[in-house]
Amino acid sequence: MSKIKHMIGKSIEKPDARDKVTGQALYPGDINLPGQAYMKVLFAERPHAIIQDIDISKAVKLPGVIAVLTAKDVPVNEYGLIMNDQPVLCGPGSKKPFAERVRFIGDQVALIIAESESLTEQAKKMINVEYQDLPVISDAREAKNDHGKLVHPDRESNVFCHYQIRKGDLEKGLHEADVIIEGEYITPVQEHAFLQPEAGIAYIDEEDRVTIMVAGQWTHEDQEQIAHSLDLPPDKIRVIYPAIGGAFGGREDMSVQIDLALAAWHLMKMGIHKPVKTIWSREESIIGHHKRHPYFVKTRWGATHEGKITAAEVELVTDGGAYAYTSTKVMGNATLMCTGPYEIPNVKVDSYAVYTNNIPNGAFRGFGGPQGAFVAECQVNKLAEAINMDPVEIRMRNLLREGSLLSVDTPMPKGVTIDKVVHKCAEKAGWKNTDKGWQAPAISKKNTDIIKHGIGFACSYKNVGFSFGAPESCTAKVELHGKDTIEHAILYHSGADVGQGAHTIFIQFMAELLNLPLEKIHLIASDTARTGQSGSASASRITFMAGNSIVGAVNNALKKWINNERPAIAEYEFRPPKTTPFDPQTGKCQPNFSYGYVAQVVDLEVDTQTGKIKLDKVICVDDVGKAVNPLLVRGQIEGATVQAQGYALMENFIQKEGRTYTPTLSTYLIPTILDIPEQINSIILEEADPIGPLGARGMGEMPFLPFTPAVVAAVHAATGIWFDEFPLTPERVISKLHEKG
Amino acid sequence: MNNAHPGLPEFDYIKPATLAEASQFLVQHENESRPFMGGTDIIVRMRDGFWKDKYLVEVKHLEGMTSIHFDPVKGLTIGAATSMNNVAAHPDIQRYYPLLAEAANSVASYQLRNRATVVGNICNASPAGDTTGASMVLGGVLSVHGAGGLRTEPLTTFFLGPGKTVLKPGDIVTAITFPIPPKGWAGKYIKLGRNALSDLSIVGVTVLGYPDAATKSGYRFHIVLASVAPVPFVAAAAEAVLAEKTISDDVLDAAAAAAMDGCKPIDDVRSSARYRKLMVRNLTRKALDEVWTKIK
Amino acid sequence: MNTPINIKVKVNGKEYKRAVEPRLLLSDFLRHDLELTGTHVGCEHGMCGACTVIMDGVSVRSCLIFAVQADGHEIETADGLGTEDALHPLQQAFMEEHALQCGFCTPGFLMTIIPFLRENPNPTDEEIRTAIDGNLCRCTGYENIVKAVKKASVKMAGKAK
Repeated sequence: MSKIKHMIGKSIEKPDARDKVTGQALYPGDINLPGQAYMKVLFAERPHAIIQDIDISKAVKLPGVIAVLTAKDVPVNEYGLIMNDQPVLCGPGSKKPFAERVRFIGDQVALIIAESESLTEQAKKMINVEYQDLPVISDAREAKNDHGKLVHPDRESNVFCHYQIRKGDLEKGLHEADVIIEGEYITPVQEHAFLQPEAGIAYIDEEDRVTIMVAGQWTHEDQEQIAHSLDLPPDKIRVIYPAIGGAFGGREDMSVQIDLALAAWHLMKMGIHKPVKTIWSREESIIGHHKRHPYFVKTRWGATHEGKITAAEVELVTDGGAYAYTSTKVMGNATLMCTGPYEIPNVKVDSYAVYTNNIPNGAFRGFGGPQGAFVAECQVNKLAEAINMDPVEIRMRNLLREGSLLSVDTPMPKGVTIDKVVHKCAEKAGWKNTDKGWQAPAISKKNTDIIKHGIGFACSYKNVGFSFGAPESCTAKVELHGKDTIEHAILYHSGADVGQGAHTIFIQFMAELLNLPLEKIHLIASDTARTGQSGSASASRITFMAGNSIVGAVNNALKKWINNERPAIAEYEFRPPKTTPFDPQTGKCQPNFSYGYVAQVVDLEVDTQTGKIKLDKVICVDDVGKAVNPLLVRGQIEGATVQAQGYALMENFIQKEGRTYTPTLSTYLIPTILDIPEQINSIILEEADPIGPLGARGMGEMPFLPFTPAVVAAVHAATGIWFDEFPLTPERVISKLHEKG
Repeated sequence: MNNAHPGLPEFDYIKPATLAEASQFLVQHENESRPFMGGTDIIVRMRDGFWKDKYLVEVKHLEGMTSIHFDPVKGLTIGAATSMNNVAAHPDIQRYYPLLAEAANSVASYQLRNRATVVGNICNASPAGDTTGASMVLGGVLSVHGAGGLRTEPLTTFFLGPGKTVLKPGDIVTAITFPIPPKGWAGKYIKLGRNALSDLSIVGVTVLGYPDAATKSGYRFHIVLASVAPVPFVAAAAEAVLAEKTISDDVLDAAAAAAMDGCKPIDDVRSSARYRKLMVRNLTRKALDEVWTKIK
Repeated sequence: MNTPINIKVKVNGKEYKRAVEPRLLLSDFLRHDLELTGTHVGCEHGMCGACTVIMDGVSVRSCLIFAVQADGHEIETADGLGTEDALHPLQQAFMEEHALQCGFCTPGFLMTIIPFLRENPNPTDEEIRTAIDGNLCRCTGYENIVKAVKKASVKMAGKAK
């Protein structure tokens, strides 16, 4: 290996940026192929019903309409990332039991394929669907106990996943406590609102593979789910990702992928060789893909006057919506993280994922972590208040440290640095470590009759990589070309660049490890016909997993190079230490192999006349192990913070009786530049992860986690009110202020 | 084959040569045609399926539609198709009608303000219109070209309901005119939305005040509230309080309370009626305070 | 109904003559008829600003304009701002300051900022923020975009001297 290191830790420009600033980058909706047809989906637009009949006869007769596909045209009419509980198309005629039911407004009923986009729309209106409406199940707490009204009649209960943790003796722990804080919390739904709505194009490639160019997060999982529904071997399906217009977890599940594949494959069987293209409108995107899970939480925690947390009991109920998506995995994270980055001797957690007729909920930056962190951090801040202890001091007395046992009764993986992160963040925000312990700074800004100031503290940890026994690996292939010296290198990798800069990082690793200039590295990315299984661009895992896979592949290739193989070609599959699932009784498990650590201080003001909250300053300290590209890391911190700000203050997804009232970006608002904090102070710590590639940890999610509880603590400091439900819209704030009087 | 946006209905685009021709066409195609200027609002409403006109009649290109003219005696005339940004940036408007410039600057986004117009904002008769309040308190009068020729329509009697106005088939608003504002006046527009600026208002409060020997208090105030009633709401009870009683903090409080008590807002995705009412009181109070400080 | 209209539009300096349906949006005209896919469509409601183009020198949302309204007018899009080898200083600044992540919103930002900098070559941070309030970015948190605009303005002012 080369000795000259020069590329890791450098803020090189994104190689994709040139195309993106010139408008030349092709996102899925920008790709046109000769002779292409267009596809449109007929959505159910009703939350719960049985389809009695679908009449497509008029639509198919419309000149220019090529085909209209319904449930009977889907070879295996089911899909799902975790479980195959969702029909590709709802309606009669398939073998899937109860597939004639629609279970949320975004369920798909028919696909219309025609010569032009406007014809698809015209034909869509000519399809007649007879529905028999069913009672709508919209409250997860009610649905949890109601076994009479089922979203999936082939199941005995609407609860489709339950985890429990039993550590120590809860009652004993509560008995030892001097104060007990009980809380009930509700966290809201959040829409990803990536700027590029779902789109894609499908065609049959030169090797007769059904090929789909689409924006996603995990090429091989898309491939597998498409193959399952089409009843084809996976190698007959090819998934390619062009430029991806944001994801944040919102592209982890299927949207247009199976539809497009089915359409192209169906046309081929009809003897028509036409690419098929689709672009969803914003409304279709908002009803058509999953959201962040809302959680309904009951909890009580106990602590001694000395600030030792003795017990935590938490019940989590989460609304999975109509189908499972990644609910079970998201809830696993929330189940672990709802007791925070603290070593608590006595823990009892019960969590339930429940089907309803709401839009399904699934992956979204943080993946259960933000909901868990909200509960844990609010509880700790309330405990601190109750025992009159500084919020940093109480944390310092309970934080996980090297060798600490988690709630699931296994030790933390090595490299625990949450105490350092908390220390740094507190110091930066003006806390003093005195002989009486940590003490918060006095608020420098003066309150007026109307404007009240406050600061709040919170911290979190976020797993890196798949958890709880999910198969976890990542493959890279490297080719080294040249004669005496390596002249250029090619990396084959599936890892998706959703905008976060994954491909930039890949190239930096290659350049560093091979001591080559950047322009001598060629990347072939995200094409299942050419690149190996990488796992998804999610769970803060791509830098960590892909980095390790690239290190391994480069090492193997260099061995071949030394043996005079030209070109030297090597593949490497990185497998991290194994994780294990929750024990059904105790919850005992080895949940994760690596974590990143984060702490935040939020400084804000509340206008008590309007309820508007203005963020003056956010300090965010993140231990990223090694900042492979510091500017990209700061971009993640700033982006995550602003997205979390939307979650905490502004983004209000309104769903009643299974229908959404915020299906556009003019009804569902996300932060504009005039809404964001005046100052985001990103501080990067680099405490190497022992098994991270060159020490790197994952970090894309963690700045999101502590933000909301830090805001809630700051608002409490300003107004004396604890908010247990958010977003903290002006209206919610005013309403509580009036209650208080 | 063009790829029209699938959500948009088919229509014909008419570009008449004169106002008379435009009015005539609109009369002939009553209930299936509509005058068309920037289109920022019409296109969204067509796309969302609310409006399905067969004909859009372009009037923006017609004579005088984009001019701004200020006369120190007669006042201000703004052509109907003048963009919000041109209104906001015009030196005479900034100098003599700053309230109008302020209101125009608070509409949606910069790009939208390059297309959207004050007259369009008024003619859409949205209760949330950001420039309607300023136009009303400044005494705006619309110049209307109808089938029977030219006439004027004062804004005070212009609105009938959401999206409904006194305009008849064939009517084309060509301009809005404003008299010279009263001596010693000051005005304020406060917009409260779900975000910093670009959202439609939850509540909008426009206040204009000036010394007036004809009232008991010696001052007259005009107050128009947005987003709290089916039409832009004139807070007459509050205006009366301020005309009758010697202005003090208590009287300003009472006027704000009267504004709150007088309006009957609704619940929607942006806010509840209850919050709107409270905000009418708090923001009216705030706007009154700012105006009063300037004119007393 | 739906009678096609002949239009003549200058886009990025090149004149195009086309017959279009009245209901064709300018954004779709640029993307589909002219195959200039640098203009993106994100919300179709005039909220996100991804579709921003320059029309007769001012920034407008192309999803809220019919192609027929552009008849006789001049349009600039991100596709024509600079080439890969000769980037506009603003494009260069966006790259250098990491003012983009997924990049889908980027052309809209560029087309909003270009006329803004023509009018206001030496803007304050506050003025920059106000200018781009009509453009949504879900990735960056906006800070780097402000930095890029600032950097570009300095560079462009230097060149102008």
